[in-house]
Amino acid sequence: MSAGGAGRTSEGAVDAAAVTAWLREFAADVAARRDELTELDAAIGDADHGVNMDRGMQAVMSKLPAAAIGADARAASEEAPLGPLLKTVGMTLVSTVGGAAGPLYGTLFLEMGKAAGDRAALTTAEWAEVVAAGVAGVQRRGKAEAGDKTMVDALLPVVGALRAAAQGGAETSAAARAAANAAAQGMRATVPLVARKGRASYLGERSAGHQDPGATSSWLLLEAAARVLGGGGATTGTD
Amino acid sequence: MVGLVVVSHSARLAEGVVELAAQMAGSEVRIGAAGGLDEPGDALGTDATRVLTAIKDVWSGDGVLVLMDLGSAVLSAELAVDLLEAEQRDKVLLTEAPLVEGAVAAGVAAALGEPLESVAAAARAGLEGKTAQLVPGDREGAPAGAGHDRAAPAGDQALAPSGETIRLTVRTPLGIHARPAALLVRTAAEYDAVVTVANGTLGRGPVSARSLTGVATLGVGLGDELVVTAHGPQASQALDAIRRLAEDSFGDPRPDSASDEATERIGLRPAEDRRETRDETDDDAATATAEPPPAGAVLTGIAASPGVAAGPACRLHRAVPGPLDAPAEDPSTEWAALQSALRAAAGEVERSRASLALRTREHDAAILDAHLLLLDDEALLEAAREAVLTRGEPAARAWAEAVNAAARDWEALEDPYQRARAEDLRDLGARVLRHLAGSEATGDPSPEGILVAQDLSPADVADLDTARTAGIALAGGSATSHAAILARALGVPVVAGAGAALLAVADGTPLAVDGDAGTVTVAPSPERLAAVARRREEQAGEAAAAQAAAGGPAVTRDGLAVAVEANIGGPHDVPAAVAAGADGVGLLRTEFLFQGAASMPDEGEQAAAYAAVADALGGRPLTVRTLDAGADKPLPYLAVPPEANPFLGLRGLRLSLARPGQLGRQLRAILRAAAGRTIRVMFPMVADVDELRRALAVLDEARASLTDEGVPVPAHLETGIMLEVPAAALLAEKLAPLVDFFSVGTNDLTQYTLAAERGNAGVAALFDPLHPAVLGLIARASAAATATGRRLAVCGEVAGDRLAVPLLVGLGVSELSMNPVAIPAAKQAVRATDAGEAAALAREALSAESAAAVRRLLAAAAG
Repeated sequence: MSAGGAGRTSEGAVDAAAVTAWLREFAADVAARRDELTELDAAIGDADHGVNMDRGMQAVMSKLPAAAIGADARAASEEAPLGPLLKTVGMTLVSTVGGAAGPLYGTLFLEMGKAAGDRAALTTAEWAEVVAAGVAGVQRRGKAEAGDKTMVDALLPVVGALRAAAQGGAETSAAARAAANAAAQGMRATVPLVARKGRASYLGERSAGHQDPGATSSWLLLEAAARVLGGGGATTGTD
Repeated sequence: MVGLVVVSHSARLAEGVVELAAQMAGSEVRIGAAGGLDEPGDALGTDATRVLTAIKDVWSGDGVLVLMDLGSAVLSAELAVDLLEAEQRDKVLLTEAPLVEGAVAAGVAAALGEPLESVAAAARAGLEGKTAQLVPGDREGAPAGAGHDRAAPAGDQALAPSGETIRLTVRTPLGIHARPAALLVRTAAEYDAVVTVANGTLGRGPVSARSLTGVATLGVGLGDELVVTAHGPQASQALDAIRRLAEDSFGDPRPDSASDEATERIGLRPAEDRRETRDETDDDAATATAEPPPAGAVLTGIAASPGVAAGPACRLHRAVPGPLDAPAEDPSTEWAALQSALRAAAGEVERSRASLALRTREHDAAILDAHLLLLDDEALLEAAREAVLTRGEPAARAWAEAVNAAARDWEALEDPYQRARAEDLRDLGARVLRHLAGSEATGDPSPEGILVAQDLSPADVADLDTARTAGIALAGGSATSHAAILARALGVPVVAGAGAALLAVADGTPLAVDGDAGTVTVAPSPERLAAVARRREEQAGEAAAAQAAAGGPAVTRDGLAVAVEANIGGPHDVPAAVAAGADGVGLLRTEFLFQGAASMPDEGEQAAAYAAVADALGGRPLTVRTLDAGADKPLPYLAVPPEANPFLGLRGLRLSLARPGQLGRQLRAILRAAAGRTIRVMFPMVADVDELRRALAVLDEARASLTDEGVPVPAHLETGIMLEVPAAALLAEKLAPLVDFFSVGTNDLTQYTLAAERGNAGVAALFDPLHPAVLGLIARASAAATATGRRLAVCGEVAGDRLAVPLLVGLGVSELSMNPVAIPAAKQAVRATDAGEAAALAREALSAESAAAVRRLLAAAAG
């Protein structure tokens, strides 16, 4: 695993460097599992989720250096705001992914960016609320509820896990691990569900027995965060 | 002026739609395309930023309407709106309108300077023209679908028809299709006048000339009369402009001889012929305008009920259903009104049934039970209930739409028997609408003479007094309709499909109907009338003899027994089959279990249904055909994607093998029902040995799993295949060892052998199951069956053709399965046959060069 982000979170819980490392990790995971995601999508959708997400994340990667360097440069002098970085990611996904994942993941990052605003680093509790804003945006955009067999099934438990961790005073690393585990559970729970949204819903009962590809990529996103944020280093949350 | 944005996964599609819309909207309307991704290789997908840019490009203070294709296009469009400035956001509407039709309709509305809401409404109504054109029933008048009735709302009717009126004959080859309609709308809108248009030929409208969708629903075709009325300060100028437009052929190329020919080729028929498809209520209009056929003219149609009759032409007079768009009262009042209309209609049918039961036998009267069941159909009622109670629609409209939707499902089916149920349903639907409007449907005495109509419902026929109504001549209709079946039971000769000219015959004109030859003679000679009278007497004697002997076995003169069985569509047909003397059921179509059900019936339900049919047959054998569905016979939960050529697609056994779980479930049900009963199974549409092997493997597996579970199964389940594909007949030697019997489905076998679809009038002449090419395939299958000791059955319509019976016996067929009503006569035909002579006849037929030659041969043999 790329551990590039590990240990970079000594200043704040979640800052621009951590987010950049997280996105790199996620892009690498999506690329590595591109065919796997596409196969999941082939079973119940239009067999393009892996390809679409990979295209989107590669585009994000090609923009990241600029955004990240900008952040680093500002970090040297002043604190780099997270909002613009997350919004850049969102807009890039919106215009490059192509499938429904484009506007959905795009909205996730755009809303997270909006919620993060000018803050340069977030405590665990703040991070939980930023993620919650993103997930709420995804729900609004896709009009999906829990149990519809969509990415929301992986993302909703994440919000609960992050908030619970924050309230319990957990460090960011522990919160990120709890979030990834919650996403994994939510993802696995999509297997027996009958799809009620998106193209898989055309299959009706026959969508049962397959893991939802969107929930799978959402789990990858949280798993990448857990690895990057939990990789060690002091996460004292003082800034 | 409102701007438009077209969002699609495909950049080319978006641009194409923009091009189409711009063609009609003119250059002033700003229309933006937002399709595809900015990625190499024309990547398919949607990009919210492109949508955002397009909205900004076409922006004006009047707002923007966004149309989109599916899935992520919707999400991207919504996201784009979120990304707009707040003040712009409120003036952007996303619409669910159909992409192409919606964009075109919206373009025209935008060009007229309509506000955003109106442009959006025009887009949403964009499908109406197409619906009116394509949805069966709409063109026939009642009950009309959504497109039709919305096209002529009360508001349009209220537009004063006073003022100046002109009548124009449309000379545009393709009629007032979308482009001419748009031109008409734009022209009408240029003047300060209220302009309405109506189709005088089809009696549709009037609608506002400013409504593109309204004009489109008039269905104005070549030769139709366009009635244009205008009032207001510039009424005359508006009418002049529209007249000039018509003279200019609405901007389309004028028809010349070459384009006439093209029109003919693509199947567009001039107005004269199109009248054929209209509802009977329009007969009077047709009578007034078409030339009646001269004395002695012979109109050729379909022999739908045997026998001959003569008498003066007469007609039924029916009340017209009420308007569909009466405003809705509160939902519970509407629902109560619908229920009371349903009860009234049911009461009417029950009275007809009682009258019928006195004059025919129970099983004939039972046809109206099926009719009554349609009125009680849960899916139908549920659809209407939801529309009334949940969506607040008026009862008439809710009912008409539910009936139309259900009828369309039936009409999508390949089987003419099942398609005919759609007609029954529409008739019942209209009956209920008449009651909703408060008009009594019956009351007139049975007309005296030869009843002339476009088509009749079973209930219409049931109400006939055969002492007064001697025969029936139909311009449309079919031999497989319930009306025709009932007419046969009542012994009333019927000729169906005699064509529109029939409707021009004046009341009182003497007519002779020959239900054996399928002809109607207008004003026949005295000699012809005398011959008709003689034939009537003879036939009455023959029919009585056949019916009396129906219960006995059918054995040829030289002692060969032939099983004469029934084709049935469900348990409700069993009493009729038994009463007709069926020796068994040669074909049970299992589709009845699957149609109309919201989900796949489970194994237990299926097993119970098959067992019930077998039990009702009282020990006579039952042949169950596995589900025969496909893109041509769609089932809601079997998600078969539309196919360009469904008859050559995933249908019959092919579809079952693609869904082995479903096939296994059906075979388990059949095996369970077969324990202790004489049940056989038959696979449809086999084309190849491997297909059969795979089906047999599913059967083996089903048997093994039942045995494991300790469920009793028969030691041997007789298994057969339908021979419907020429390949199967050609492979008969390879297939025979794997099965117990073959059953020739002559309808499909004929269609595939001659590459001619029965329903296509252009090639219908080629479609003849007695074509020597088809007979050759049957002979080949027969040879293979004989060599391996397998039985050969025929379950297509030809099995019930009295003339064909000796030929089929001669070809080695030992089982004939047919519509129950044909059984008594077919048995008589077997009894009149000598198997030895029949074999010689078959050899001669096989060497004939055409179906006509075979028919001549058979007619000569029959003497």
